[in-house]
Amino acid sequence: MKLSVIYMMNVIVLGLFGWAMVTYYDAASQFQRLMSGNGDDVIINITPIFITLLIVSIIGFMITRNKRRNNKGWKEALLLPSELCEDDEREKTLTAHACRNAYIAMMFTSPLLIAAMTLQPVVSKQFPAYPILVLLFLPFVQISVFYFSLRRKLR
Amino acid sequence: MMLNNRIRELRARFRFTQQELASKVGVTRQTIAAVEKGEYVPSLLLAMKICREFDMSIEEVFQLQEESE
Repeated sequence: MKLSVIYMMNVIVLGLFGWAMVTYYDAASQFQRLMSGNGDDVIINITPIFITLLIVSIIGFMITRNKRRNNKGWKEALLLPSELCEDDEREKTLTAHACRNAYIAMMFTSPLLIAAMTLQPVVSKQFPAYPILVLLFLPFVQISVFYFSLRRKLR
Repeated sequence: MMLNNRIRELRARFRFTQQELASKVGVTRQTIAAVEKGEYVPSLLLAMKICREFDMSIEEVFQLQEESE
């Protein structure tokens, strides 16, 4: 499977997961209000969760089938991310280089995100699920750095 | 320092395609192409496997070249 397709799938899944978690966060806030006696009921919008499960299932099925066709074992097909499936020593070297860059990106991004979390009391009134967005930014940066490192090396 | 190699020339002499050589030494075709172009320096194990396919010594296939100033 092409690297750009895998990257797009990862970004879509991450975005959908974030959307579903924002819904859960909203429901948890309603539950908290209910418990403190300020609310009547808890309403969960199941559309994001349903769409996320549907698309993740389709993507998971496609990726697993693709890896099984390439003679990978069940464990590798189900658990190992597609971008880490290496067929020889050169691909292992490329992965190692991309992982190194992703680690460096994490070292720079983490303090910025922790600093961004300090804005939570200000932003939470307008956007209660702000911490979820901030936390999702870290895997997004890592996935992106990994992808662009590999793409540059493969050119 | 650069590592030059004669893999492309030897492959032509032995009438191997990149895919055939790759299958014989257990790597992908892209890796053989990268080694031929000098974009990837193979491990000692891979280099020795390639040399074995051509029945030659390491020095006959790979040469170390000083980079010009």
